[in-house]
Amino acid sequence: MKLELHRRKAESLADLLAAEGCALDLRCGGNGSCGRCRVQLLSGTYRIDGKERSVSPPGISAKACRTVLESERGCVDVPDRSLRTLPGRILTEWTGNPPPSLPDPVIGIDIGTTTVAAVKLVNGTIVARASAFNGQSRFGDNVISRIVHAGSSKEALEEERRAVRETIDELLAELDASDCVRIGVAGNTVMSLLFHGVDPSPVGTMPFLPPLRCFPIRTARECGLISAPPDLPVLTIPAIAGFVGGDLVGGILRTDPQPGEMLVDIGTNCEMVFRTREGIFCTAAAAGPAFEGSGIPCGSRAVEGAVDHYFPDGTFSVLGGGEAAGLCGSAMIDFLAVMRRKGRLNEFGRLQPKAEQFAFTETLSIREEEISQLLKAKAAVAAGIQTLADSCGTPVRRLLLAGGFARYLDPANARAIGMLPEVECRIVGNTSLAGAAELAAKPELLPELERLSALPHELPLNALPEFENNFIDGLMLP
Amino acid sequence: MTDFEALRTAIIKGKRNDVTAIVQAALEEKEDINRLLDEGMIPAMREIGDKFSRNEAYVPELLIAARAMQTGLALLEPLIAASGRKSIGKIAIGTVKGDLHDIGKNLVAIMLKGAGYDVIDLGVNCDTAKYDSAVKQGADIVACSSLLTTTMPYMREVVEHFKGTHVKVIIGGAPVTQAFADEIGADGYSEDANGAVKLVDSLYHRAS
Repeated sequence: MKLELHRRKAESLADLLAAEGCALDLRCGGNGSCGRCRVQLLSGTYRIDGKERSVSPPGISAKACRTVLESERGCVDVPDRSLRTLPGRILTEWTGNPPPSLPDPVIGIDIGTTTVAAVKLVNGTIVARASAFNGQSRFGDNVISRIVHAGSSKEALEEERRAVRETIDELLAELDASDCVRIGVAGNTVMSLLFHGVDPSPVGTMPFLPPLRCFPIRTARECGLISAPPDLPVLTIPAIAGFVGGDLVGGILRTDPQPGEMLVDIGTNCEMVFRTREGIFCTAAAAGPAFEGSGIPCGSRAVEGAVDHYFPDGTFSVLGGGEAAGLCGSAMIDFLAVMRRKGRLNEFGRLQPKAEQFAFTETLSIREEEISQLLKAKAAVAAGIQTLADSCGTPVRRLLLAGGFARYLDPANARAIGMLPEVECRIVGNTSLAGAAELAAKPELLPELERLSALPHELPLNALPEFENNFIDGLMLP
Repeated sequence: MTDFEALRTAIIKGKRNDVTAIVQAALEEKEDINRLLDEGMIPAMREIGDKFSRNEAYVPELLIAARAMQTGLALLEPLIAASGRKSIGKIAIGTVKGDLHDIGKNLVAIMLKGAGYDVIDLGVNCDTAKYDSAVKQGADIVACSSLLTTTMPYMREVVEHFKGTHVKVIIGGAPVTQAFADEIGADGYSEDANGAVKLVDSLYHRAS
């Protein structure tokens, strides 16, 4: 899409385009780190990252959030992939026992860093689902950037609090909360703190302790929610630690891991809870956003148009059919496994025969440097699981894979590339949302959840010397 | 006779066991430690570092090679002091206060050692007192790392602390940028591990 623009004072190209009704993908909050808002500069003079550049020849690619139009007029081409996409496929399903049957409607909400999902339950059955991007995304695409922003001032904390409440209000309006008797909320620790308006700054530095683990029962009015009856009680699942939150407690409640079973939520931050005969142990490993497509131009989140599986014959399947717009994490794992099996990738993830990139289609290709990003992400997951199991002295018998990433994952391929150990995998769905819904239907669970959340012993991965060794081992393709 | 070519290849390919075998055999044969370093290990680390800078090797390969290098260095380190080897520069390195992520920091430390520098690794969660202790041991460059945006601000305190002294402060880590380094008045910044070696070279006015 080509757009003619007129200069305005000191606004980024992304702001300028948004004012023209062309909102770009600013998932990193417009700080230049994700590279999702790239546009082609066709004419005009620009300042890119503070450096003046006149466009000749035309066609320079630039991050719109880091570019300012300097000349009076300019023309840019905005590729479709740089537009802000709608959250097409947010996981609102789960496995296991149905939630408690209650004739009065209740709502469960899972506040994720990127997306927020909600369901309305009547008699233990889901009657409506709704989901949206977390409005806080404009303050950064990961929990650390949210902590930094919230900690910068009282106003900033309030901005983030308001942003997530506005998102939740939209979902409540969509589900119709007027006849509901309760809301249950789950999220990672930082999301829960921000929802309650508590400054999460202590989570950002050692020893990463949350200022609050258990949250009071509040009314919708106290939470600032306007699309629900004012006196509606809002219950929040307590958190375990700074980086292991109520979303995992919901998962423990729902899956009830047995000795040897490890509950894993693979994401930018990969959280793990391991039950052994000695007790419950948990940790978190920073896998980074590569599997969500950040820093990988052909990457995509699991939205309509994303390739979810890549097959040995070079064909692939696309979510919702249609043309392939990018590869989501599950397809990237398929790609690594398929290419390694064929000998087209060596153990270091280098293309064989030597090549700089591999093309899936005319428009989708992956460079070797980007493959190395995937190796780092899978190594963090592998090292996290192995280090946790080793330090507990208990082998993993079964993996319970929670969350959106696991939904499309081919566990055999994830094992083939050494990301997951050679054990049975059970995909359990969005157990955070399931836990929130269960709590809403059965409020007497709150004390039980508070007890559960106090049980796990947290292991600081980075303080265990074996973690680095396991991480480096995990970088290679078996 | 030590096969220096095999030693270099073992490091570049990250073959830890091969490195151990070659270095141990060399030590048994009373090979000159300086030759092991100057003709085997240091050139190997420089080579993988330069490949990285030319986009011919990526972080995974660099980490794997660095671990093999560290395996070899660990065998030599007790002997280096006794060998009378002349130091080309002493650098203190540590992850800043509030942060405990150290894989990137460890990589830079090994790359610096691999380039022939003396490195005092202060570990994680380093406050200015910790950096001071290394300066007392003769370090004249302090290298600060951070992975979390939340712990970056401490770098400003380190820079302020050493302002007006002979100590130079250099910074790096995933969220750190040249702009941030300029803002806090750091003496240098590098976006990757090999760049950190070049930066230290330039601060010591060594051609690399």
